Amino acid sequence: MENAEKIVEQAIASYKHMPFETAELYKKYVVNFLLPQGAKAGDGAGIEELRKRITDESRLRFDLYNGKDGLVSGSEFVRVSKKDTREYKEDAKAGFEERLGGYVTSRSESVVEVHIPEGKEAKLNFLFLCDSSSMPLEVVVNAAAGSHLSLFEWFGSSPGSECASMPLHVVNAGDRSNVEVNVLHNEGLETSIGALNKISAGEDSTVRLNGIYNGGRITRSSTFAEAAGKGSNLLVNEIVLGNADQKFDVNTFILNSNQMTRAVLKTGAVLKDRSFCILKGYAKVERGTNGSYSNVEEKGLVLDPDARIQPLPDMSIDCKDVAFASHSAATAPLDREALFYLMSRGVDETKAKRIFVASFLSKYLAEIENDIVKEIAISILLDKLDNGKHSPVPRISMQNLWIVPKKK
Amino acid sequence: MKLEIKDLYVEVEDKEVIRGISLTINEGEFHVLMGPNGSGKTTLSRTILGHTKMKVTKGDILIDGESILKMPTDKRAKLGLFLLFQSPIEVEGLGLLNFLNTAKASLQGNLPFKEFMEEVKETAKDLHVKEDIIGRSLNYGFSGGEKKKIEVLQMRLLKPKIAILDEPDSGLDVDAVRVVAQNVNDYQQRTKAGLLLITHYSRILNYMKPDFVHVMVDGKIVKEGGRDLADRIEKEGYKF
Repeated sequence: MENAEKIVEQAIASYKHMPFETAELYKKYVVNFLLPQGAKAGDGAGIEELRKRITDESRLRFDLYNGKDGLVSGSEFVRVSKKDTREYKEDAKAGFEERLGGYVTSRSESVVEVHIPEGKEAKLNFLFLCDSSSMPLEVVVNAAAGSHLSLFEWFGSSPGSECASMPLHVVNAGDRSNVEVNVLHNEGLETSIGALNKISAGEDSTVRLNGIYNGGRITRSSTFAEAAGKGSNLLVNEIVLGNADQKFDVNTFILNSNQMTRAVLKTGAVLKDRSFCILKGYAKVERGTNGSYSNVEEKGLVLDPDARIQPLPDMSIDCKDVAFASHSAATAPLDREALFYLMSRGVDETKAKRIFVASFLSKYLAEIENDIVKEIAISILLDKLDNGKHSPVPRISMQNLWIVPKKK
Repeated sequence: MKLEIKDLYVEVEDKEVIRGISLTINEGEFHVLMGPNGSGKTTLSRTILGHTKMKVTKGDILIDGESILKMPTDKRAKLGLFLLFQSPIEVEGLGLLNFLNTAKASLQGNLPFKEFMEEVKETAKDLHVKEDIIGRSLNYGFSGGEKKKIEVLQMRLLKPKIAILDEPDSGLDVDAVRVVAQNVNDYQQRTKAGLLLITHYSRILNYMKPDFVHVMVDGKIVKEGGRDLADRIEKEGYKF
């Protein structure tokens, strides 16, 4: 217990150079997506409060930083542009989507627009490197009806670079589209990461966001993912691997807002040394979304006594006729019995631990459809586990990996 | 290989569970350890393999005359000891094949994968293990019987010199008990391994021929004999 308190103190102390962050961190323990006073579950106030918080929180975060865009390898489907950040004036009466979209647009200096036309297929890889002065980077993905997109984004920064990495994603998946967005946060251990994702899945579409949080000194992410179209299938799959003094604050909100939708949040965190992680997964099943499926599952593996994971799953079901709705959380240290079992088969302790952790992570890695991403993620994560090493920039041959699709 | 347990006392979480056990298992010998629930049989098996929760307070465990008390579990396995677990653990995400391959490589060095696969398939067939199980996660979602068969499969693949089988018959139906017993018999006859079989019931012994039967009650061996002792326990229970 003494250790846990010490870690929280250290975490708060580490935010001190940004005064509002202290309050934010503190709020993680006491606010926890509570409904406003007097509000009842199902009356819509909860979601409004949550939406307001996401907007307000993102405002606080991104106002703080200056920025720069990254290096992008483009294709026929990708457009990169610079823009004037002073254009936008917020309309307080506008709806959440408009406000958020406007906000994102206004704060980003660089915009990467991915547009996949109807029925087309694309596999894109982006490498974003930030340095000491970074502006938010906006990635807008628009997958038209029936299109198929597999996107991989590698975020990195130079070792020792005390910069901010702030990607803002807006993903609109059209009807019957199949979209996979893989975001690997592998920035250096001196980099602060602030990530905002907004995802909307159209009718009968399949959308998956695989977020791999490996790098960064402090990481904060807010994801809002909506299974909006009837029959849409949405998965947010998050992997967190922390060591040394890394801190992660991962906030994810999944929403079923139409009938026969499926929205799933799976988060797996493995922490070593003195690292610290808050996982806030919130699911809401809106009224009238009959036949929907919603599940939040947060799992953590703590490898050292000073590491700490705080999972906070939550759920609000406002529909009486759901197919399935559940939320759960579990964290545990390495299972000594499992280690004994593996060692009794001749496997040494170090290898046994590695096998156990890799097995834990494999459940989440298995959700990644893009095999290249899967391979890279496995290699980076295991390297960090085995050697405590962190490789903020790719060590692989860019020539072979970062392929710009040929024009058809 | 010779396993000697000499006047062994073991504590688990400050409670004395084993209280002065001595037992020797020579190459090719088949010993059976019987006893009521809570008598310390499983504790003894885990102590032999070096579980860190089992604290040896007195006595010694020797392999070919050398103490192994300070050896970690994996080193004991490398000497040729094997424990068939009463409740094998489940590891979701760890492929059974990968695990078997890793374990085998740890004990015997790398084997060509084709050769390894042939051995796995052949052993699985002998044990009546369905092929789809081989492709699944280690023990994850397996029935009790499947788990026990996979334990026996591991024993056959890893080729221990002394195998401790902790209740290989529990949770098995009659046919499965026979299959497991036959596989253990075959293995012993082929390799001349020493066996220590822990069980509550003599049912599995209908298919096996033990050399010695030991009865353990309250952390001590209270009776020793041959196969007839197991039959007597079946009829009269553990009242000595």
